[in-house]
Amino acid sequence: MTQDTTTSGVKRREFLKVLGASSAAIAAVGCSEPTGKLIPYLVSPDETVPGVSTYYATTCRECSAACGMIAETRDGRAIKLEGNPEHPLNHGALCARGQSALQGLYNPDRLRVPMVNEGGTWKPITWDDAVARLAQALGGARGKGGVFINQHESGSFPRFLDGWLAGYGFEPHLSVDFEADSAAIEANRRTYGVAWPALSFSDAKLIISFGADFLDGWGASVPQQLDFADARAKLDGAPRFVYVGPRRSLTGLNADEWIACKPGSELAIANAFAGKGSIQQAATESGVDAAQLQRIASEIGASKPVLALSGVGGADALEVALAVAAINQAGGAVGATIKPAQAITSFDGMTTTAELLGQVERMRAGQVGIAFVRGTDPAHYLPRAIKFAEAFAKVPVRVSFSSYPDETTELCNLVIPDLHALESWGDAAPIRGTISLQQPAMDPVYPTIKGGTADFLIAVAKKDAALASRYSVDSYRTWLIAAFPGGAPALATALPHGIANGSMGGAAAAAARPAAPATITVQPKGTGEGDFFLITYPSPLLGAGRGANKPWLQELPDPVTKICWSSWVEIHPETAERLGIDRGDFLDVKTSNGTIRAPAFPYLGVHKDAIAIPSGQGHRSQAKLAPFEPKHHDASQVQWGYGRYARDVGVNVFDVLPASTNAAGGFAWTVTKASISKTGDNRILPSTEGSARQHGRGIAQAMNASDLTNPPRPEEKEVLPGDASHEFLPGLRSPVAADAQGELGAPTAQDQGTHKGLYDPNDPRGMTRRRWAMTIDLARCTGCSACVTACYAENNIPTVGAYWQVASIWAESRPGLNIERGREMNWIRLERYFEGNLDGKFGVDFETRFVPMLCQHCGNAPCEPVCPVYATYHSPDGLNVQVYNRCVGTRYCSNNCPYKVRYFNWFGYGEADRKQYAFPEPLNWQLNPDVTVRGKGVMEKCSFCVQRIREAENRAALEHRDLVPNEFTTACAQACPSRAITWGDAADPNWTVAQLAHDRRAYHVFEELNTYTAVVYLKKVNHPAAGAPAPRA
Amino acid sequence: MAATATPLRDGERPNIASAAVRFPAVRDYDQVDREIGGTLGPSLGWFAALGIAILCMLVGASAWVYQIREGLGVAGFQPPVMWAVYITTFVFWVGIGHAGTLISAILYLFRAGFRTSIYRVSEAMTVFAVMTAGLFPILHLGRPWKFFYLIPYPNWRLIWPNPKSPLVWDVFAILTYLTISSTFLYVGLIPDIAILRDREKNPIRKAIYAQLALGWRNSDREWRHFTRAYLFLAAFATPLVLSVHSVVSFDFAMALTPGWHATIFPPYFVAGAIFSGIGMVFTIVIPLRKFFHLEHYITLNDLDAAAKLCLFTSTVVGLAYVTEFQIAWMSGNRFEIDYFWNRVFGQWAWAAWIMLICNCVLPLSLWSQKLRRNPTWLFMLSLTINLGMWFERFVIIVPSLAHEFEPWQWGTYRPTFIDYSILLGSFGWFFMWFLLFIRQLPVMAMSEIKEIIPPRMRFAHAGLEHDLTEGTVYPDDTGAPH
Amino acid sequence: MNKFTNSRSFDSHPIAMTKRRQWTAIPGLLALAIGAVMLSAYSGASSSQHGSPVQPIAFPHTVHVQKLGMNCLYCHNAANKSMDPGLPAVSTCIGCHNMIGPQRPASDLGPARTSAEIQKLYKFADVAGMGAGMGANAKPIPWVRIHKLPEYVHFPHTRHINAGVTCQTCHGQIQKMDRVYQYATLNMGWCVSCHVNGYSPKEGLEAAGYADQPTSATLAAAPGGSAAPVALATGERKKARYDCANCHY
Repeated sequence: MTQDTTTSGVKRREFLKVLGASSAAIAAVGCSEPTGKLIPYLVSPDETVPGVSTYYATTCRECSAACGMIAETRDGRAIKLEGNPEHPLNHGALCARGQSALQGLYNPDRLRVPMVNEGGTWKPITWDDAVARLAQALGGARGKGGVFINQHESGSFPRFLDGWLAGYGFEPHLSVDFEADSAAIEANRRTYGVAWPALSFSDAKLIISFGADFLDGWGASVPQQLDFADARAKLDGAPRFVYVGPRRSLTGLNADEWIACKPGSELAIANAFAGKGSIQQAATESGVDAAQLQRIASEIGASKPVLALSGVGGADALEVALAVAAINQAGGAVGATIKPAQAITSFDGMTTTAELLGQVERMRAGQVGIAFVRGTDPAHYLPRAIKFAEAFAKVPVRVSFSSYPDETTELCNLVIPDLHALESWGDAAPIRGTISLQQPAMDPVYPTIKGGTADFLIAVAKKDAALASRYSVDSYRTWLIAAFPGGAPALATALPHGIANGSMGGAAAAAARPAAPATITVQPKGTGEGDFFLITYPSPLLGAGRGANKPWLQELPDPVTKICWSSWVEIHPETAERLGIDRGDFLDVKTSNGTIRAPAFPYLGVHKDAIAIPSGQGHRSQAKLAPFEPKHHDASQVQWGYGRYARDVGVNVFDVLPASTNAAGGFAWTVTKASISKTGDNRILPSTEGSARQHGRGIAQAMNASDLTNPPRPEEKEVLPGDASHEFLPGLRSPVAADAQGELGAPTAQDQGTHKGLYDPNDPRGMTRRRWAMTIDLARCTGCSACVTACYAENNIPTVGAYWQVASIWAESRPGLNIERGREMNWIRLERYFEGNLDGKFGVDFETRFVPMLCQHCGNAPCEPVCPVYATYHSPDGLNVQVYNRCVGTRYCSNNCPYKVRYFNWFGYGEADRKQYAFPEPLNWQLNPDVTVRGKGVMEKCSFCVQRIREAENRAALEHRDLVPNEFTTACAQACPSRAITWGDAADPNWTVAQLAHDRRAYHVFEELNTYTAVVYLKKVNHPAAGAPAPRA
Repeated sequence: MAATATPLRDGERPNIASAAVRFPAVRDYDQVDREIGGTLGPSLGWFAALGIAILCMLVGASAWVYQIREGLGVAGFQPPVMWAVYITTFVFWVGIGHAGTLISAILYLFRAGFRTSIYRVSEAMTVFAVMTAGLFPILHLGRPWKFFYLIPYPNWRLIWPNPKSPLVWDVFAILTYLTISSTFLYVGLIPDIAILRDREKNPIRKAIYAQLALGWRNSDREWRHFTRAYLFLAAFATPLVLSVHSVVSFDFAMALTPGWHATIFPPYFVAGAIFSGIGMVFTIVIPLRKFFHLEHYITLNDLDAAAKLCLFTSTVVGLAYVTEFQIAWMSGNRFEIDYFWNRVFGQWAWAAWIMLICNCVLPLSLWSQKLRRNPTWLFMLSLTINLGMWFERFVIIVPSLAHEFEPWQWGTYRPTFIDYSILLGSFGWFFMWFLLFIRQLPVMAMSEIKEIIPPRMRFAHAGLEHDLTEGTVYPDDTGAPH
Repeated sequence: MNKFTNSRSFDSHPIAMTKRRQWTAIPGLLALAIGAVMLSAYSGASSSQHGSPVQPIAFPHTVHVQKLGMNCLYCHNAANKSMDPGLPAVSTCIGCHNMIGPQRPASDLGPARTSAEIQKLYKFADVAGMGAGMGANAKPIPWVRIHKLPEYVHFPHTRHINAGVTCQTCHGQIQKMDRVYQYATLNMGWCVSCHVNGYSPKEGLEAAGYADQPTSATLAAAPGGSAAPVALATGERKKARYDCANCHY
């Protein structure tokens, strides 16, 4: 909290640090500490007011989809990312990975300077030196063949890059997205003529997915989730959703019915449904009851248009995709639910894994003189069987443009750190005919990085006599402006919206690229020895490993298993019981390619003959680590192994996979068999899950779609013993709220007009009129957990799972230890309850209900009366307030909270001088200046984003107006890609929440406790197959 | 003060619950001064014991310092278990504190003679136990340096503590109890301190005793005021015995938590407190009478009577346990039922069974008179009672929190060495004070004992002087040296 | 036998007794003293009020505000639209001072002289001389902070300015301060008392020292007052919210 800055040579950034530091506060600070210095600007920048946010529209680069983002910057620093409402792809929503881009920007282990590896030791060099070195190397490498492996992105950079490579006589670059489903893309090309047609879930009568995890990252997740939620929220005539696959992913858990087929048997089923094969054969191959398949088959026939999707991980992915395409064509999907006309172009010009493998073989053969890697990490995700490192080492010049010390970068001998997407210019082409613009939201965090990769390449080209003329532009920005249709003026008008019509020709050029030599090695189903199919899948949060160095994503529990900071092996409870495996038992998973060790997680949603392991973890480094003290991090010191948050967390499943692709050249995730053996040691899993069952406590309630049209059935409003069920009026009936709000609080108040409250009658904006409340529609919520990350970002919530965030003396130290102890700080958490199949038998279907659980802001809160110091109390506008600086930490409030949504600062997570500090420089640059950073020994919880309320009130006051209904909302509601969360003033009927709160499906959790919560849940709606029993409330 | 002794027929054991108690082996005032005064002044064993106590206290103290510096995370808390060993130990010590006032005040008003020899010890125990308990509400805070927020005093923030919060009631209850019980102890000490003052040779100690004696002259006028004051204080302290632990029980009863939210808690806690207090009295008194050879003051009759009280409270506590289960069963409230099922068959079953066996089963042995009059057995039993009562509080606090309304947040709890060190430290702290006490001040009320022993006049006439010197053995002599 | 058995023998020294009684006052007094110390220590009486550090440049508010009548918002330009009042950039100073050099002619601001402070400013801003702009080696002026609330307090300047609270109400009559000092205690009680009892723009003008002509015209001239939208004729007290979550979150 101190603000000491040297009086001499203070740069603008330093000043910003001071400002930020002064606003991001520690609750435990006293009132009379040294006040320090105030360092002014030299020249104050235009269009910014200190203490007021500026917003920049830009494009998300965390996956290939390229959603539109709004970057909120305060005093020159990006502090929050939100979806761009104007963007045609994501319409204002943003997933957890997208929001975590900030922690890539401020990652404490970002590479800060160009470096060269001389004789095994890394030495920092200057930008110009790096330019010179590369120019010289290129001179030598001409004609010897050069390979540029780039993380796939749409837009004009690919074209620029290919042009540059061509200048040196190299072939076009490889545009790799390891997680993308090449089989689906290929099938789409063949069937619809586009890589990715727009999918319309809301127009479908029946959705059937063959392992296509369209909520987990398959395709363009955010728009798919938006549309899926809209479809499911139709309640009347909403599509039923059937999921076919050996493992129930997050997408699968959202399905009404799960067909648990054997791994690799999807093809038979798809053919049967497409009418190309017999149901009987499918049943025998897949081990699924023929009657069930028959029922689905007839359902497909009955419900047009159908929407069938394929994303299987097997080696026969292409065949399945084509069979599924046949289902679609038969089901009248084309044009109705699948719209090639409005193609999503994000995946155009993507190269397949097979092509990448082909280049690896060329490297091994010594046919490559120079190799570049940018934004992708093949050394991590290419199976060990391929021996990438060995092949890569055969390339004399290896250049990395990575910002992070990942495994591939470690193998290079020249590293030129790239600028982060939030620091640089660019563009993307997410939808045919639209340009999504990417502009810097702030100056580079490290001024030592003089420009992005493109700028660097231009600088290099200038050194070359032949190319200098072609690269007269001073920077990539200038190049873009020239390429932009309409030039600078058009760009100027488009930038504020972040989106423009037209094309920069990038995609077209990429599509026109000649295909590189590909190594397609299709493995037969279930190669290798072992009793189990090994199902592997990209983690919805970490992908193939990209997210692993971001504490938000590490701390965010996996939506399905609720495990974080770890790897795990999913195994069916029945099998686990047979083999005597308990939750947390470490298993050795052995395939013909090797062995990895990970703890077991008994999971109802995996086939009994299979085990499942996610990718993304297991970043390790062969390089020796210099002694490293997380508290005082030396900027020049490189943390190999993808940084401190990723190193030695979990295992890398690619270590045991064979090098296999499908016919389309995409990577085949699920081909090998594996055997498992107990190692004897057991560990409590770092999971946020207490009990996965509701024990009939009515936390997540559901009803059948059919009942929505019928009169209420008794079990629809099942009352618990001792329940006095109330007709709902959000909180305003509560004694406490009435007390705090004066007469206005009581609904029966006769003198609603005259003010008797705590507040002054003259105040036109008296808080007492308001009752901030929230509705959460469980029919929309898919459990994606984007709201959780949004809350972390908005409210300066510390991550506590890193291995050093533990006690100093005699304390164990491993990633996720604090999570094992239940000390996570997620103000809003996603509870995942299983219904049905209580004895965990395979073959019995089960239902999953997701409940976002946050402070309910009870009108009659149990936590308030027990606090001895009034640190928590009821504010007149209906908030349950936590005053950090008043809190002494008795933790009584948490004991008395039925919802257990209060979180305690066990260590000085927010105190820079503590070992457990959660925001090592420069992560603390992201801290929201409007929210106090809590010190140790203080209770904290969801505040309903009170800072946003105050900010809006201040703005309204400044403009001499009242708040406009739905003018603003909380971070979670803003981020939610399903639009499940609605927030606002329940006392004012003009706010949407006030109407939703009286929905027929509305209920309070633990209503019988008379807490008068301000959070109203709308029951989940199930679409059971005909004749299935109704779910219990 | 206690009623005067009445002569008894041979072979009959006095009705010790009544005032009729006697110390036949104690003959004259001088013997009392000599023997009880003799317990004062340091000895090697005492120094050893004190050293160990201080060492334990230092372990706890350093653990606390470390905890303040590093944060509460160093302790084993695992949300949702936000209270654990600290609050358990707090309630434990408050409970211990209750026997003292009960014995010294209530039994005084009831004229129960057997209190005479043990009330001084148990009263000192009370004061030190409350001093120990008083540490924990501060010690378990997340920000102990802000503890003064809990105290109502005029401040520039214009904020006061929350009168609705049971924790604030605690502050008042504990402070009141500490004030009254220490006053009660001190007032009772005055005449004895006066005696010590007069016997003391060392000028410094003499000066200190002189200060503490408040110039007591043993005049009739002083005795008259003294007895009235003592009676008043006794009457004043009596309701505290009931109120203080009722307030402590409100910490739980006022909460929603299943397993806490019960109206039976106040009487249940008071009974438990007295039960544990008597247990601690045994733990302290029995070794004491052995090391100081005071068997003829703290007679088997006294122990017998105390044991009966112990048996009674044990059955009350047992009844409370049963009632809790019965209420949960009949409530039909699934939260309650789940919790109580979990209490005896869940992850914490072992703790619950320790509690039941130590507090309800073993004390039943006291129905046997032989065991009631067997100091060794009483001592061992008292240890199990202390253990059982500590676990009673543990079972009330931890499993309830670990198994609350929200299944998703069900958890567990594993203490760390910090929790253990601070638990140990609390015992060190308690015994440090107690050991300091027994060597500086009389462990028995000399003046009261002098009232009970036969007046000298009875022997002074008829030339029976020699009887005194040779010593007479009475047939119903109990616990006297032969 | 011995004196213990009849302690009456002490009755012969009444005076000694009374002396002893006096001593017994000592422990009580000691306890009282400790209590008093604790109370004063925790009463929050400690405050940085009246703190007046020496600034790197002795900026005369007296000249700029009092004599030249500059509006506070000219330099602290965010005060009426942000939580943060804003600190003038060095360029703002130079904006005027590259025309107003160290050589001061005689004027109503005083006799002819060389202003050492403006020279300091030129040194910081690396200004070659009058008319010249800021140089390459310009450094920001490290002002010493005077008013600082704890970081868990969120104080929106905009709300107060727009409610007609004049700057001087909290900062004192800066225009009369040769060296700025902390005028108010900035204690929570100080904030709350105003929020509870209310505030009238009239008082604001009095506090500002512009109460002599309370017309809207002079209000416009009043530092910080210009943005006040409230009617001034009435001395009506305007109360404000005072529950914790207004400032603490």
